[in-house]
Amino acid sequence: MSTKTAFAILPLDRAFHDRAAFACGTESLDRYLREQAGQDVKRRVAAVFVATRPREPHVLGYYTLAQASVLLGALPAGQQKRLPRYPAVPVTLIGRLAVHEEVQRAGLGALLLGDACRRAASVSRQVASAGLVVDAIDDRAAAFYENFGFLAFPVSPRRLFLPMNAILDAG
Amino acid sequence: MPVLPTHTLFAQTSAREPSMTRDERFTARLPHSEKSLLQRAAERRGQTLSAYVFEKARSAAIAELEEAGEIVLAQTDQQFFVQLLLDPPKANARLRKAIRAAESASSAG
Repeated sequence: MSTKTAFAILPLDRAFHDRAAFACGTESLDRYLREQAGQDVKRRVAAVFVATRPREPHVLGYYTLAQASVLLGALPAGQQKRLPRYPAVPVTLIGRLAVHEEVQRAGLGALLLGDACRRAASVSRQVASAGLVVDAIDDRAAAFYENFGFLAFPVSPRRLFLPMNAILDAG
Repeated sequence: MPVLPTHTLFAQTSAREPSMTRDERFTARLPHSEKSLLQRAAERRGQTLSAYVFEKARSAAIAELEEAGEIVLAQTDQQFFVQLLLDPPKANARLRKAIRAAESASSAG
């Protein structure tokens, strides 16, 4: 398979990776990579992973991961009894995921998402996470995640969830 | 007589309260001039003071929590979330394939 070795995915290295030319078609996602991602990494408020051609600096795709928690405060007694009484459940948030226009429809989105799942599952063996939450930027993005089994919340369908046990089951 | 006017508004039940629909009371004390300010803004929107203050405070609270990485879900969405934790689905073929591809890409360096 050509895509297996066509891309390398690594933590963002601010000194090496070139983010200036990144263009995914959504300005806010481009601007985040150009202006904010480096700061977030430095302050450790988000982990940023970038895809490039192997050993090349030009960023062709990226995603971010951060710890978050889902607040539980409105459960019926039946469900409440089956869970420990935690007011919040730890999850991993995919804050952003974007692919450069030049390489869209080449399977890089799937590769980035697979990498996010792989990393989140690996980390969850040390620091618990009940799954991946993602906020899709539009309906098309939401449909992308649904293809991989992410489930849209009924009231807020732009927000989706995939339980960690489904990911660990795949590994 | 109290010198400051008081006002009540309804807030959602507390996080530990299993019954979901009971309204609770929340009383705020504020100077008359501040109440007039809020009242005026509420009237412009055609809302009661209570509804106006609750709506504003609620959206500010959600924004603040989400900014800090705390995910606020509607009641129905919370139940959906918990049901998925209790009974997780199996990974589908696309997900398995994507994870395998990412593993090969990382081992290829």
